Amino acid sequence: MSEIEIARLAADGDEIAFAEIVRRFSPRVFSYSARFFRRQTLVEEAAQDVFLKAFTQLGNFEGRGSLEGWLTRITVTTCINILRSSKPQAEMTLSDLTDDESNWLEDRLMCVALVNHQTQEDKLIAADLIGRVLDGLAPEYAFLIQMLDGEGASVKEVSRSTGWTEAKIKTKAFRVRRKLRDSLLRLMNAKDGRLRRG
Amino acid sequence: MGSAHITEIIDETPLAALDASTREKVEIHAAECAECSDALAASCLAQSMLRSRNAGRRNRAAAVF
Repeated sequence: MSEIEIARLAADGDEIAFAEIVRRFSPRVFSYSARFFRRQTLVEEAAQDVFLKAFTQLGNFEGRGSLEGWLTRITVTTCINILRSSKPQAEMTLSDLTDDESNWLEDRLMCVALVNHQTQEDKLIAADLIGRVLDGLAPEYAFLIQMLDGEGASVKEVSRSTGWTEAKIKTKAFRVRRKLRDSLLRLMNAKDGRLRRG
Repeated sequence: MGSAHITEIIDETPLAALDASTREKVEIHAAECAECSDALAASCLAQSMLRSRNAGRRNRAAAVF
């Protein structure tokens, strides 16, 4: 059965058709939700919201693009809205870092050549630390930079996933790279200041 | 590139996507400019950390599905 046929049946209240949509596209929806939330329970809640929204809006799906693309755009919008409505997190400061994290960051900045030869432990620290830095950014910025620089997605691919124009993506990418860089440098400058005072 | 700072370039394009000639110019400039050297190091680190985060997310997803 084609996507448009399944979508029409589901829009008319056919539960089996909707269950088929959930079965087919859950991996995609969960995968995108996980780009926004680290806790699995939040990923699952977001995915539930996405399918609820999809169920109520299926009548609007006209089949001009793929159902997968349509659901991906709903996922991105839903996750951004959830994060926007939750309590905003302050930008990360030096006091949020443990001594070990602070030393790790300094070591890596001092020796960038080592960055591409990380141990497993390095990778875990890096992933956790950048996740917390990203938490201080607007959710669309955090998502965008993760897609472009973390996953190596092209501007075109991000545009298809989000519905944003390529110009908007390039402008936001420029801003968020600068923000990330400045955040890391601020953390390190604060550490230098603390060491000088200590 | 002369005395112009390189931050515009490294904010516009992922470092991994810079062509060899631009990358070389960026590195030459960074070697002579402390401000840009710090900026380049922080950008490299940020992108490396993002890749680590992505790898961790993919591993978690693989465990779920």
